[in-house]
Amino acid sequence: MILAKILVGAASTLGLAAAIAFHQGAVILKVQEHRADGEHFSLILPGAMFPLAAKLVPDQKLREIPEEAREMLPAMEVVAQELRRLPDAVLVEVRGRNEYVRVEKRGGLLIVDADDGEDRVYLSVPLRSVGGVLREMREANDR
Amino acid sequence: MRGRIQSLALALLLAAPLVAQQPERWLHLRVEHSRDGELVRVNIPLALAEKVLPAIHSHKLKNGKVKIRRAHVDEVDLRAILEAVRQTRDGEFVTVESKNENVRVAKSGGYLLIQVRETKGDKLETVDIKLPMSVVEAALSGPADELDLLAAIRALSAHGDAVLIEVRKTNETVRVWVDTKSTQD
Repeated sequence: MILAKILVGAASTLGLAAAIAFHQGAVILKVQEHRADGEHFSLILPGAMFPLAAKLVPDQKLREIPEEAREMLPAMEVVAQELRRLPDAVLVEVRGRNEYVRVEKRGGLLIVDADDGEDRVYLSVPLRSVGGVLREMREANDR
Repeated sequence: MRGRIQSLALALLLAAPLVAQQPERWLHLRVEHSRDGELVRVNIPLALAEKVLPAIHSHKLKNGKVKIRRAHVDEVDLRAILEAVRQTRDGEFVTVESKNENVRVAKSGGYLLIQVRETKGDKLETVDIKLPMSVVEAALSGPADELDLLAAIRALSAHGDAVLIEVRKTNETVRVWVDTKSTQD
C-alpha cells in the first residue's frame, strides 16, 4: 500500500514536471551545412530547463558579461515580456542574393532562422524561457 | 424607466474600456535594392518601443531621452531650425534650387515636410519626409540638449496611420510608415 502511494506520488511528480516542460515549450537548435558532406546538428531541450539552470549558476558567473550587455538586460527582459503579449509577426527579415535572416514571433516562441549560403541555423526559443533567464541574470547583477 | 436608465448606464460603463482601447500601432521599414534583389523588412510595435526605451540606460539614452550636444549637420543647428518651424505658421521655409537638386522644407496641415528632388543623368531621385508636427513637438519638449524619443513615439502612436519617409532612388526604395497591421502586406 505504501509502495503504491510512493509510486503514485512519483508518477504525479514526473507528470507535473513533464507538463511544466511541455507548457514552457522546447528550445530547438538546428544547424545544417549546405556542402555535399556537410554536417547536420540538432538539439531539442525542454524550455523549462533554462531558467532553472540559470538559478543554479553562481551569481559571479552571471555577472561576467560585457558592460554593454549588462546595461541592456532590463530592456531585453521587457522585450521578451512584451513579445509574449503581441500577435504573431515577422519582426526582422533581411534577404540578400544568397543569404537571409528572419526573426519571428510565432505562438509563444521567438524564432531565428538564418542562412549565409554555407550554413543554415534555426533557433526556436520559448519566450517564457528567455524571460526567465534574463530575469535571473538581471537579478544576479543587481545583487 | 429608472431601471432602464440604470441598465443603460451600466452597459456604457462596461463598454467604455473597449471603446477607449486603441489598436496596436506598428512601425514598418522596408528597403529594396532592385539591382541585387536585396530586401530588408522590419516591423516593430510602437508599444514595444514605448516599454523598452525607459528600460535602456546607457551613456546617451536614459529614460527614453537622448542627449544631443548640439545636433549639427554641415554647420546647421537642426534643433534651432525645428524650433523655428514649430513656432511659425504654415508656409514654405526653405527652398534651395541648384542645377541638379531641389530641396524644400515646409510646414503644412500639421506636418513638417522635407522634399528633395535630385536628377542623376536622366533619372530622378526623390526623398519625401512627412513628420507630424505633434511628433516633432514631443521630441523637442525637453531641455535644449535633449530629444525625448519616448514622447515622440507616444505622439506617433496617438497620431494614426502615416507614411513618414519615402525614398526613391535608381536602384533603391525606402519606406517608413505606421499603421495597425503587423505585416507589410
